[in-house]
Amino acid sequence: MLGYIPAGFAYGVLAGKAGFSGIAALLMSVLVFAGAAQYAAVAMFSAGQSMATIVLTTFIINIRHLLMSAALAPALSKWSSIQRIALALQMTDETFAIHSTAFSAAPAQPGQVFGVNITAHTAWIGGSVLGFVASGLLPDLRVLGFDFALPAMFIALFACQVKGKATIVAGLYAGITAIWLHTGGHPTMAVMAATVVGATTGVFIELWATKQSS
Amino acid sequence: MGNQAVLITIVGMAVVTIIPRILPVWLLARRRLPRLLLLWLKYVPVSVLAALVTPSVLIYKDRLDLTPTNPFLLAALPSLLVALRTRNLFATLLVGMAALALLRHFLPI
Repeated sequence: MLGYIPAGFAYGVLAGKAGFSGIAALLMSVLVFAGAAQYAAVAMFSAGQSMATIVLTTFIINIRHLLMSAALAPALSKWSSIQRIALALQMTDETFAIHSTAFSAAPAQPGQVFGVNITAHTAWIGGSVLGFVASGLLPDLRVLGFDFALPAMFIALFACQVKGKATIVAGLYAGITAIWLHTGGHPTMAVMAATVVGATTGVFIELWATKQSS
Repeated sequence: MGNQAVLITIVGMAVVTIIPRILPVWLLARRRLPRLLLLWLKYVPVSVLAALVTPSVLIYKDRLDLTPTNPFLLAALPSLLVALRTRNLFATLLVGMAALALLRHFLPI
């Protein structure tokens, strides 16, 4: 969960270098709490993009949460609506990956779930503040490899989801689709479309495997 | 963009981020979902993360780069090894960032 400190730090440095006010940089980490979208937003703000463009791009980047939220839903049938909404407010790639692993092993525990969410969000906000403060002192984020914080986090979270051959093949199909859409000029659709391809592949493999064994 | 417009944009970003997060978990949790859909949702985590990780590592300078001149690809190898061995996020981050920093320091990339 502390992975969000360096990732948040990278965001804070970018925001500081882009000339954000401290309030704006902090507010984004508190309210939006989405790594890739915040990096993109900082770049778009400094490129002078319009409000509508920034909001729309954020929506497209974050629409993948729709599938993630749906994937968590079946494990939460015993939870109240308020609890479920509270969980979803702080659902990111990281907290989602942790929760989906936990829910596949044992029933969802509110205490544990909110502990993870609050720790991750605090780490993200804390990292953002530190990065913002340090942005004036650092010559270049790249020297310390901070631009690898988000890719490294994705690698770690992906590794945690690899359980057996079907997940590997599903991931492979999703990965190839994502690359194909990126190089084909549709990067904004890539994650959503690749997820659909990967999950569908996983279902086919599992159905095929059950048929073989029966 | 003025200060106030920046703040309004951030609130707008928050709204469009929060809606897709909340809606399914709010509306679907009490429904009985078809078995096939449940099976499909089981493969969403690995697919989302694969779709995030591949472009972030394999697309370098706006194009697909599978050669050793792509520092992100090189740094990804020790990161993946550590990730699979330890399943530890923080260790993976440290190794990945250190690998990239060292590559940049010692290689002309």
